[in-house]
Amino acid sequence: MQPDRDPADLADRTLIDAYLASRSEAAFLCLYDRHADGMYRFAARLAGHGGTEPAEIVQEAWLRALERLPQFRGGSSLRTWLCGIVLNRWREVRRGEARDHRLMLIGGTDALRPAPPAPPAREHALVLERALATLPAGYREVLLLHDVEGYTHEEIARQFDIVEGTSKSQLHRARRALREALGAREGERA
Amino acid sequence: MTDERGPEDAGDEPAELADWGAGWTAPPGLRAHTLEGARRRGLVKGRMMNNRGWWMGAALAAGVAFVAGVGIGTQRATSGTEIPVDTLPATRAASVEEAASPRYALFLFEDAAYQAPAANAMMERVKEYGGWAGDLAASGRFVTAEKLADDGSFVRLENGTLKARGPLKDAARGALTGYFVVGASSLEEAMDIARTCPHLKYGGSVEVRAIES
Repeated sequence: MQPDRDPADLADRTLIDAYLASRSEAAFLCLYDRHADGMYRFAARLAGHGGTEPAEIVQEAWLRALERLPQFRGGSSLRTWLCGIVLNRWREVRRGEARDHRLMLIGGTDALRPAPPAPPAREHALVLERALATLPAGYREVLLLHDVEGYTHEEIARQFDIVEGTSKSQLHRARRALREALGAREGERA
Repeated sequence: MTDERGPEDAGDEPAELADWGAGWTAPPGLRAHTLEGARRRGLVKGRMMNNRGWWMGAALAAGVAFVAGVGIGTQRATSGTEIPVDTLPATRAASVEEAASPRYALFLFEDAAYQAPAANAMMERVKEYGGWAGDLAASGRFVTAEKLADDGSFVRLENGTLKARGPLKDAARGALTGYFVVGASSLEEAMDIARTCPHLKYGGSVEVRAIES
């Protein structure tokens, strides 16, 4: 099947071409409006919270995406490609590589407040959030990519430069770790 | 992203994981911040209101993408990769080799009367122009198209001195923002094509000229 037959991919391709042809802010904002919430949600899930940190990650991810869009060939969906850039940026921030210039781009974070409303504060969701926070970052990443964002093992393998079997075994271990963490949390509540 | 989860994956994920964090949305201020960052790095240019005809770029891209899609389909088909017949376009865009048939240039102009879309209606305008160009390509009458930039220069010699001015705005038609080249059997057919161009209903104008072969 040709990947660009998906209507959403065709719409993305049209907007990318429009942006590359004009570099106009309107063309960019059409792309932004289609994907910013998804990117932000992914960044917030990686960070384990909403607020300014995921916003900074998403802003920088967009700027990198615009720089690299001429090289985007549609091998994956645009959403997958953008989330990959978010993930790379998240990893840099986590490693502290970007600490020096993180806030320079944003030009101050006041306008990003108030922070977006938190997800529904259902008790189980909070337990899940806390359990996720206890997982090693690699486990959390593979869980989010596969079980939440819908990445295939092939896409995860490409993202991390690993073989698909490693992605599958990593996911298996991550799920087991999450279940254990959830069990421990439930045990604490009991 | 397609679901390729095998039996070893199915039903294994903890409940509610997929819904976790679904309520998070990008802060409203992030849009303006990101746009400002893009401006500083020179990744966007122009302002929304003075960058005319950008959505025409989308229309042109749709036509070009259609042609490119046909090319990709042809390559895959001839390389032996199996492609379901119904995924291939039923018709194809006009090719350069078919240029022996009459061709016509459709020049698109915009003046102050042109009704530019509101910010929240741009996506619809893109789809409309893109759909028109895509239909043109599907009917085999799309040859090529180009969007012209807003800036440019008009030069002429006046008493031996080169005089240059910005892009001319025709008093009657406004600024030339781009053109299509289409295949048509006659001027009348080319005019019929021009009549269907969404540009007209928004106050733009289209000049139809035969290309001499």
